[in-house]
Amino acid sequence: MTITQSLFYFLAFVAIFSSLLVVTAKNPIHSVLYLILTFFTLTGEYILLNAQFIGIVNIIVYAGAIMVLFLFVIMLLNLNVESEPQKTNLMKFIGIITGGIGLVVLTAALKSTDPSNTVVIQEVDMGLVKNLGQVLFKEFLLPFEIVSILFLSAMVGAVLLARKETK
Amino acid sequence: MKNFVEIIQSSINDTLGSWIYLLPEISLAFIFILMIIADLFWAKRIKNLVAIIAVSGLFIVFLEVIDQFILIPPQGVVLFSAMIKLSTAAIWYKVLITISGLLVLLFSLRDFQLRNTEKGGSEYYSLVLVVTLGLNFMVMAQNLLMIYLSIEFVSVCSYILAAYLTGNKRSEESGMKYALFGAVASAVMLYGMSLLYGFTGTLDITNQAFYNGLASINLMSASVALLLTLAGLFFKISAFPMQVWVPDVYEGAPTPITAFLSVAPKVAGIALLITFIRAVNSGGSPSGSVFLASTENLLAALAIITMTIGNFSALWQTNVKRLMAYSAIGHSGFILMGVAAYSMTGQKAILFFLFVYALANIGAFLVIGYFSNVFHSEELEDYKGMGMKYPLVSVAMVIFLVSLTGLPPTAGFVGKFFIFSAAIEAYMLGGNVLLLIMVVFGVVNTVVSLFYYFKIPLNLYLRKAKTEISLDKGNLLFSVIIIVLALFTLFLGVFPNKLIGLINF
Amino acid sequence: MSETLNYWLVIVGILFVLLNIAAFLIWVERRMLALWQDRLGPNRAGPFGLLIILADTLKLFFKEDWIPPFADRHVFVIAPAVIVISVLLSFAIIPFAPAIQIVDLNIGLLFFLGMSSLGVYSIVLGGWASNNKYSLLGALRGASQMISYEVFMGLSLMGVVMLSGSFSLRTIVEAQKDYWFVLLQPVGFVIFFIAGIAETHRLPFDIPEAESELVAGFHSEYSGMKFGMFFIGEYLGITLISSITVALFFGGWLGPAFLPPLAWFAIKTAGFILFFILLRASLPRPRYDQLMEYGWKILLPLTLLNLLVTGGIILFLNQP
Repeated sequence: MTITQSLFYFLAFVAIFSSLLVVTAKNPIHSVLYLILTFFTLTGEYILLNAQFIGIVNIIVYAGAIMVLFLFVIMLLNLNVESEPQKTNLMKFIGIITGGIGLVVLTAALKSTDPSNTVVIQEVDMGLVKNLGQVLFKEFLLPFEIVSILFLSAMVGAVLLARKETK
Repeated sequence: MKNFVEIIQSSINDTLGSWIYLLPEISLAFIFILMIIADLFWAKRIKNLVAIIAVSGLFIVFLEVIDQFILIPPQGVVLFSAMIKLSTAAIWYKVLITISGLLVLLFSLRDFQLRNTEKGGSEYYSLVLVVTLGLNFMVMAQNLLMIYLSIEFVSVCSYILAAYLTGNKRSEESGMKYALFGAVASAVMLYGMSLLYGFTGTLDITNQAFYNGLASINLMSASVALLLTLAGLFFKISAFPMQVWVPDVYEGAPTPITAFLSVAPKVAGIALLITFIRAVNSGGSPSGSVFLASTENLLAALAIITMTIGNFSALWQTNVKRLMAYSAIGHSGFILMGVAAYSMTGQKAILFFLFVYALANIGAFLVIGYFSNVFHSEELEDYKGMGMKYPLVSVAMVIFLVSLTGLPPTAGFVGKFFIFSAAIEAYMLGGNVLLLIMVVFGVVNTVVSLFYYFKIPLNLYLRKAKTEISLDKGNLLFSVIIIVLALFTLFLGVFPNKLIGLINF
Repeated sequence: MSETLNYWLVIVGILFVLLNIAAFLIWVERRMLALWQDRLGPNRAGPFGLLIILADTLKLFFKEDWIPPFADRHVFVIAPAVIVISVLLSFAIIPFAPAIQIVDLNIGLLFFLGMSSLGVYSIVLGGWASNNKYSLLGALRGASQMISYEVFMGLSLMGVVMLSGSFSLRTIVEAQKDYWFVLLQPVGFVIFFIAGIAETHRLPFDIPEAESELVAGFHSEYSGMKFGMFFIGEYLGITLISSITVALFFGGWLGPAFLPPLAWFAIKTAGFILFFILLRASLPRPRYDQLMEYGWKILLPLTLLNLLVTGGIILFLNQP
């Protein structure tokens, strides 16, 4: 096993483990912290794939901004262990059954596919900012522009719903 | 450095070459920004400025969409490195979406609830326009990224619109439920898309590599990936198993938005579903696509379940908006019948049915809005005896309901007839028995729908009003639109060829 | 072998120097503040009161390290470490001199932005874990302030990136051979510096701690070396923002040949650090809503305008 491979497995393990902790943690703040850890491991995976730009943007945007807002909101809501809605045992049971069935179907369906070929990065510089920018503004120009309108309209909506009317 | 500038310039040139095909969409985006600015600076001085810009702007967009019929070559144009494709069919869907957008804007102008929200109406109109923009991209999309983006676009704006009546518990609940269900649906869809991309290595679903990649792997794996992706679309067209959100959202949202949600996203969702089915079935191999039978079976089964669930649940409803919500689920089932038959017979029947459905459904919601303006209720109980007090509108309501049931002499009859005959034709061509079973279920469901639709005229005409209070006069604008829509419904029922002749491509 | 050794020496050297500078700044700040405010400042221990550094450090180490019983223990301990780690990591990409740089990443500037965006966790988590209303208020203020100012901190740097065509700090410094970027990007520089002050939550933007209204804000409950970490983190932050400013806008190590490059870098950086202290001595603290309004309504549009104009001019000048 090369260093890259063992790093991959390590990061993948931490990613899955911490995302499980996100779900199981009783305290919502701890959940968010584990989620941040998950994002860090994902950044590690991106860097292993030679996509430094995506990796660092993942930190800036997700770990650095969105998760802080998550924390912010959770603090404002003052959620804590006691106020977490308690699910009945029946609900948990149903949840386990449905989730289990979903897992079985997915594994059954995907088991029979051949393992994919090893990813060979043809262009080493593929993930660099320059190349990414060129792709973004040529092939993906239209989605890029649409996203900007989408964000604008979402912003209008968010402000609208949150604004307090003073009369 | 030089290199960058060249790239920017070449991409600008590319864009300039294809902007003419995107004229309606660019106009929509422009009008949206104009509305925000107008709302900020001049809304206080000129009353209803934003609404006026919205209606006139959307009308201009409508003309631009019509103009595209002449603009494009018969085989359609592929734009922006195969992100979207503008074909004649797509333009038809866009026409339908724009018309329903216009009707809904007019509807909203005089809606009681919307006029009395504390938020004012300006953002409402701009959001309706942006939804239209998203829907336009939805019907043209043919790249997984564009598909996801446009669906998300429509969803995000719809959540806000459904929750627009802040302070109204029902509306807030409706928006919240819509957002939660929608988030799950798009997560499932995204998971499916990631599998599809992993299997095929391409995002462009019309690319031959997409089909080849899917056909070369195990059928089960490919089906699971496709099914997960389609789940997001089923959410938009409210088909089984993603239909649970419909009644609560339709009941709580402002009535014009309910009318819009029951028509426009469904039209776009069906268009996208057809794009998908075509991509999956367009195998280059002479023996046809490996997915042909399975997609047909899947769609037929879903059509049967969806319409049965919708129509039977509607029987017990006492709230008119809720009743119409279940009826909308039922109709999704009927449209899916057409989609199941699509690979054999084409989309003429679907398009005609959608047209007819849009007219009648928006018309029916307009009447509901009209009544709710008058006596602020959407309960079936309160409709008692109103037929005599508001004769014209009530007659129009009956026409819409007859059309939704699918009885002559209304357009609904012709629409259902086309769908049924398309299904039977597909059975003859392909010999899939499930299609025949589907038709039988369709007929049974039509009969069932008769029972709940006629609860409304029953209350309107045959029951005595509970109290003899004097009520306001109805709104003139509403009456005019309602009557025009009703006349159209009748006209298309008698002369369906006027529209069928146009939808020839 | 010697290459690796050299590399390690650079790393250890930078770490050692930085930590000492941070401690030294405590003395500098107090003396300078005293000078500007017409006081004496610390002048008892040692020559010019220099030994106050030692005294302060010893005091911090020997104080009782107390974790309040009502606090969330783990988060409480992690929080102060986060700021020191994130700031120290940022120093990895700074070219102090042609030969003295830990790593020259091609996304160097983004790495700096990423690390500085992590610094906010220290405040948010520290404030929350303290389980004290003043701390929580400080944390909330800190989060919103830093998130807001991060937006145009990043955007204000993009003009420099456009001019040099790279995110690598070394390339950016080398691109300033003819003229410093502050001449071409004066607006970008001013906005970046303001955002930098807000990011390090120094006066006048020290709203998260605001001792007159929030006791000490997010670090009210901290004592001993955990408090020391916040303290050191703040001075490291000042050094970081100053040295980034120098590298991006003031030609980094470039300067007339009579002094070595490292000296030029140090002199320029010291100038900015002193400016930070002068700001503290001279400006009052704005109200919280004023701060937010100033950021979103003035700085953000200005940044976007700066970006648009810069891009337009570059496109125009490079026209074939």
